[in-house]
Amino acid sequence: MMKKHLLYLFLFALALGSCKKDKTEPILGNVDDRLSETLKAYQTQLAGAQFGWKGYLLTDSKVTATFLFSFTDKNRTTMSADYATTPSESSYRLKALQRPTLLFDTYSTLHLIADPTPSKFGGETGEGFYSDFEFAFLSASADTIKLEGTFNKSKLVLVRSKSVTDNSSAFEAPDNMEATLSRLRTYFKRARVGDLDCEVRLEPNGRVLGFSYIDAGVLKTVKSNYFVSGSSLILFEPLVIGTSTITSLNGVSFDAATGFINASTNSGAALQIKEAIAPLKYDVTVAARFLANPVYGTYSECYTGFTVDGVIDAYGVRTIPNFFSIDYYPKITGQNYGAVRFWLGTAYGAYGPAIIPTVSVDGKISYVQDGSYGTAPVAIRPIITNTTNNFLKQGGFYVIQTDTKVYDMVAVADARSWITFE
Amino acid sequence: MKKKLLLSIVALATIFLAGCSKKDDLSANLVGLGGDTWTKGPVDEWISTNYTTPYNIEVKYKWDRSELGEIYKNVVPVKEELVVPIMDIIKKTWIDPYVAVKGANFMKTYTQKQFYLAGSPSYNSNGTITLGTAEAGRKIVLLDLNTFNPANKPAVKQILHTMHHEFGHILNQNIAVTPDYQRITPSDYTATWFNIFRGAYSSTAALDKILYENDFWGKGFVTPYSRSNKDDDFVETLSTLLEGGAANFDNIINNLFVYDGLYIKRNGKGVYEQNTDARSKLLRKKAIVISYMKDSWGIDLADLQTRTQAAIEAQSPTADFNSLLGPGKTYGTITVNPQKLTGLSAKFLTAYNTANTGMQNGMGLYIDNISLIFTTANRMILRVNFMDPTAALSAGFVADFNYTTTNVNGVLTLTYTNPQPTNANARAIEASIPTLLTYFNNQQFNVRWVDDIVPQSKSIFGGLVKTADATSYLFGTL
Repeated sequence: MMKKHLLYLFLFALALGSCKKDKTEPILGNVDDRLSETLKAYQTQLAGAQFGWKGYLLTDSKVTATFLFSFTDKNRTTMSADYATTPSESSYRLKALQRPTLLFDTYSTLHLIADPTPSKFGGETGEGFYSDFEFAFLSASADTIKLEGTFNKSKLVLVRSKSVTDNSSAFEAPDNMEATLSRLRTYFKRARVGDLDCEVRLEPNGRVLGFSYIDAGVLKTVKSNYFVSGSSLILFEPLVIGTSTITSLNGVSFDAATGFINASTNSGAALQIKEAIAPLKYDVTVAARFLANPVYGTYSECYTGFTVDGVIDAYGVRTIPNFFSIDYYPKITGQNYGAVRFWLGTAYGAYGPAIIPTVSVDGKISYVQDGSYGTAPVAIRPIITNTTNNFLKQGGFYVIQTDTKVYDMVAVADARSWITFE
Repeated sequence: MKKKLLLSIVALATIFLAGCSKKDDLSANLVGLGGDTWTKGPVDEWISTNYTTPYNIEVKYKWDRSELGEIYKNVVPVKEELVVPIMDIIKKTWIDPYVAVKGANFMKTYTQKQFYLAGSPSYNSNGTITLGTAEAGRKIVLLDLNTFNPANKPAVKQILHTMHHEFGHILNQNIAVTPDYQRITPSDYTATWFNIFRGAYSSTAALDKILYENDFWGKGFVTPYSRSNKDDDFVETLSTLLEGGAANFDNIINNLFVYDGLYIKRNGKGVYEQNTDARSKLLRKKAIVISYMKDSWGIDLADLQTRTQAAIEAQSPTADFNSLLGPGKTYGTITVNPQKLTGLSAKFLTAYNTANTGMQNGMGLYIDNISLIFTTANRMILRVNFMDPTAALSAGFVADFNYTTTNVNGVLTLTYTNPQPTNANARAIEASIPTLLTYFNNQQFNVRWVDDIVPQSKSIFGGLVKTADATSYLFGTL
């Protein structure tokens, strides 16, 4: 009998327990409803821009491109790019993948740079330029949408266009910025960020901005690719320098009177970039290393000649017929001299100096000439002579290593001419 | 006691039932349920009208990475403007011929249910590219479509071959072909069929070609891929018959000979030794395909083939032969080798064979083949390639005879040029081959395709037909 009671008791307990209902309600509403609202909101935002959007792409292989997009509420988009300026129409849609995602879902100008067939636009076989056409939303404010490619992790920033003029100047802005930045004549540039003296690195070609500063005796470098919108230079990644964080430089202009570039940072602080003729901190070991370890075993290549006063290839080596590279041999095997040779695709030109390097104790290379490989044809003789004379400059060169196998040689005398070997 | 128990049970049941009544909100719209949506445009309407509504086939052309077998490959979407032209050609040359022969319900029942289109090929790590895949009769993925050009017939045929191949699998999976098929070439199926490609056999191009072709055609297979397994063999034969046409298949068979190195084995009178084994294997396979289509599906293969070929020709027309033949044009030479051709006119063969007999009796030589060369303006060179049976097979002789030509809208008038150029070989055999020389001299021919004589032979054979006598003609490979 007792057993039976126990059984009932157990059953009642079970029955009552089974009645326990989960009363929690999703406080933010239904997940799916929210997701469709989000997608809808993004689409409305995209289609709602009267003048469309300026798009700034940075592929995973650090190629930058500027686009103009306009979106309709009917899944159509018209776009042009700095590399294909004729507008063309294709389709887009928003889809809930792992994140809300903007898909450019039929072939368009944007796909050219991602096309895996090199004959279409270049890049690597099977990869293109490691770009994307499926972009997940990272953040969106009224005027700026940040996206990230889901396949190659390239970055796309959409900035709401303000006017027709804003659109028409979008593709020129980077060129104008490049012209402004190249007004600084020296390789080394300085700026004061917060209370830190920084060396500024500007690569208008690859659209890279970097700052180096001394932190507890060690040189620290931060850099990021940027895009140009009007007179603003906006970084894809924020740069942290000491206690300051820089995400953009606005109102970038050159002041001819002072020779400075003036700008203000995102925090409103004024930033002046000035010319400098010496590095902030020089690694004296690089020169010897550069001479001892040429990039291609016995030589290193340069594709653009000397940059002088901010002008790339100031002497015009690229105008030499069939020019491919300047090959610098620190030492010709079996000889006591090195050489500067001009590779013309199939053979070296029968000219160019033989030069002997000396590395000083403070890590600078200087050269003396030791003959030549012949007299250059009259048409290109000034190019060869100018290039040769620059190598022989009094004071020699700083050697700055900017990447694993990339070296810049910068004239010590005024830092106004330099050459890159890679 | 019993009552109490009953009461307890009723009470328990009530509590259980009430306690368990939970209501979940099932009204929410799941995002993406039922597929992606977008504002439909003309392309979507076209697909709906031509594929989805009549045949329940989905044509997906908007990007969806999950449709690709290898989602980690960098592939780009298709160009929107190419979708309709591509799918239109596929419809007209794949669906429509079947519908015409078998009716729409047949295609509604058996076609695969989805196409997925993408623009670039899929690059593989071994350096090859993938142009398309098929999944179990359910879905066909077509890649590399952004290069599509309806005027590029080989590219169009490539796509059709894929379509007919995959659809062949579906038919074969519904009604299996007789096991007799796989007994024709049982020991030559190989998993490494992909090692059969040009360049794999010899550094000498001519020898490589012979050995390459001998490795599938010479073994009784219609393509290298058909050596992979019995099922693919079957559908390759079917799709080659449909996509390539009748003349293409017959031409493959007519060119199967036994080789000794670079040369076809032959007797002292120049009669070739045929590869009868491969010929009979291919013919038996063809016969089984024909009877399979007839008996299992009630489809007359010849009818389907004619319709498919007509559709391809309509979509991607071939220019008339006269406009393509001549100096600097697509074709310059017609090669006539009666041992490799069937269907030459009796009148031409009489002239040719009499000349050949004349060579054999008079000089102990034989004619291997002739070619008609049109690479000089206002001239046709009749080149007689002849052999000495006592010499090595590599020691062939050439004799050229010139004809002066006028061509008015494809009517070619030939006159034996007088005087003939200096050519010792030509002078030596001239007297032995009068019938061949006079077959052309002072005659008028229509320069044209001979697809009325050898059906579906455009771009394979080009010919000359006497204007005064339509029963006297010759044609040859181009």
